[in-house]
Amino acid sequence: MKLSLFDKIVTHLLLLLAVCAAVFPILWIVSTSFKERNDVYQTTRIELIPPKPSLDAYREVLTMNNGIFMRWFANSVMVAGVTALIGVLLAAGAAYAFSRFKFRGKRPMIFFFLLTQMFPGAVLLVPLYFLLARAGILGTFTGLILAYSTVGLPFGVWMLKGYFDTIPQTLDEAGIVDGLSLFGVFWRIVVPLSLPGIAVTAFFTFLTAWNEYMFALAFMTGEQNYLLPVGMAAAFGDQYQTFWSLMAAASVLTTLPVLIVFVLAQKFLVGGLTQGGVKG
Amino acid sequence: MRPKRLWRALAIYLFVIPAMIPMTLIVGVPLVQTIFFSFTNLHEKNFSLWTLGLAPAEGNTAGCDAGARARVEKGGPAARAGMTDDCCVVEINGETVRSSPALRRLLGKAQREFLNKKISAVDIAYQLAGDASPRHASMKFDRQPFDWSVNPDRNRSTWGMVGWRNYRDILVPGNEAGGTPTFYRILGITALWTFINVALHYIIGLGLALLLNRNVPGTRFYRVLLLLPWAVPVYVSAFSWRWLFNNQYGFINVILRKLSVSPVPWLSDSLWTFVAVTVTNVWLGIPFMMVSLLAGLQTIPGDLYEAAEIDGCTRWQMLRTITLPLLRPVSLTIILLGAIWTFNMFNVIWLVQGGGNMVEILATYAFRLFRDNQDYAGAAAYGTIILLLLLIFSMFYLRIIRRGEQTV
Repeated sequence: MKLSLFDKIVTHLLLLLAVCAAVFPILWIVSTSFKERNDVYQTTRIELIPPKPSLDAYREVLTMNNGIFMRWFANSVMVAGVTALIGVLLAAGAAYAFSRFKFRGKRPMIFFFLLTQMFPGAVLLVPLYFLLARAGILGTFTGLILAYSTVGLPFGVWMLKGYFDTIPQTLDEAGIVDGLSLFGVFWRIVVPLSLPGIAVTAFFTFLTAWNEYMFALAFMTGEQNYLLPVGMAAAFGDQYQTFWSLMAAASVLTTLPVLIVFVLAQKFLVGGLTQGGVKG
Repeated sequence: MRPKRLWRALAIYLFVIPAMIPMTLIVGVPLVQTIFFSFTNLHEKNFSLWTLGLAPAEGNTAGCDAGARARVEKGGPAARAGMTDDCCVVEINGETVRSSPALRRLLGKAQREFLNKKISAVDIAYQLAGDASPRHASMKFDRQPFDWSVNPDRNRSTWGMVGWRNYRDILVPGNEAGGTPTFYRILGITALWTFINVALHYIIGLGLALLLNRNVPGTRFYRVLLLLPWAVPVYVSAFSWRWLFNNQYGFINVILRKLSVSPVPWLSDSLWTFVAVTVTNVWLGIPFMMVSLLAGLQTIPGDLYEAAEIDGCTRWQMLRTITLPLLRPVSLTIILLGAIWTFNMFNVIWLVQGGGNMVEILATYAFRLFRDNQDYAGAAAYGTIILLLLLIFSMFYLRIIRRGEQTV
């Protein structure tokens, strides 16, 4: 379809508008984080660029309580990293089986995956709490990682299955003819071809753990063991009072690593998303 | 040949089982357990925090101002240890108790340690009115036997089955003071919330996907920026919008003041809070729809449009006769998923309001029942009802899809 100049201008304008709406809340947080305390609490002035840029909020966040923020950060990186690793490994196997084979129990399993999405997670908190307690891993990172990698599984399986579906089955058959086992086909042919999809799934599993709040709040005790969201909520704001500039600085610090990965790998990620992932 | 085929069948299961084991243990078992709890009277009195027969009471008694006053349940282990109604807990496991919340917290901690099998009994130092020095007692955790007979009395301290009672309490309008009963009111809000959000996600997502699919120069740049909301942690976005909507210092109200429009009470009025959480959730959910639809659009061969153009179709006709029908499979899947996720979108509702309850959907209400009233059985019944509602919705939805496919 050929676009007239007018169409092109309209397209650009609309997209620019949408980009502004998408990016503005993020920019506003960045701006708040660099403002002096007095400039944050303004009722009549709007300044996207801080009039007196200051790093005070960052300094306070990073040095507070002997640098406990870095501790939370390390906890989160560790938990989310291991979750992504385990989650992807488990999801890839199941997605491959769902994508390629007919077997007894396939439909009930898929139904079960869908069912888990329908139950409100907040209500599962209590039995999960007692389950982890009985296993003796309540309040440990192991328990949290197990919970996260499982909760993220259905979405991971769904994305990877969509991705595997796009890889022609004739490649598998060629592999079998060449003497590869099923596992060999999976590991030597399917996995290397779907690395973008696997990267995307790993990224989103990572995000699940990096973002989660309720489980981390309920299961972990002791400041030393907090993950970022819980620590931030405890330190900078609750229902009644929020220290906006500190919260903003902490938000920027927690978002930055994810955003950097996202932007650096965006070609990979977006490619992975748009090629697979959607064919239910 | 035979063993080889058997091995192949086994190998297939070897791919699935590693995922199914944790799914069953960590999601499946708690799910079944929750459904079971919804038929019991597991609420405050029977919640295991209270298995010591000791519950924090508000206020302090005379001569007891250093510690927390406790209410001792008659017949419970604490009463058997010699404590009375009006006693004052001074220490739990060697830690000094200064207030009621501290008592609650230390009891919770002891319970956790007990569940983790680190301790088998709790050492409590307590003081009775008139006593000069505290007495000590070592109390074992009470494992109350489960009462399988259907026990209609929710307020008895034994825990057991209550049959459909929790469901009746929720679904049958009781003698609440006027208006629609809580459940139906919240169900209405949840349905409205789901519909508005999914509709906006889909329409805006489709619009943006169509624009991106025109491949004007810079499309890649636009696409990455439009996806950014997806990469930001949910609690950060929620916080960011909470800040934008702040009544006093928030960006939006400052703008309104500048325009000499009276500022809007965003997060302190039900209707405006609804608008605020909806805006936040729409902002959060668009990238997913947009990317999925874009992927769908890219599979549509371009010659279809060229042929339509030669036939003199308008753009609107092309959208209606080519694009939308070919997007149908993708659309149907993501709308179903979107509806399920939005229906249970706990995080946005909870975090944007900072835990407030101006706008409540079923999922947040269930959590509040458990957290504020310790009514776990009620919360479990709510969870089960949500599950059933979504299940019925999905079945109807899928049936309508199938019928549509047969007629097309």
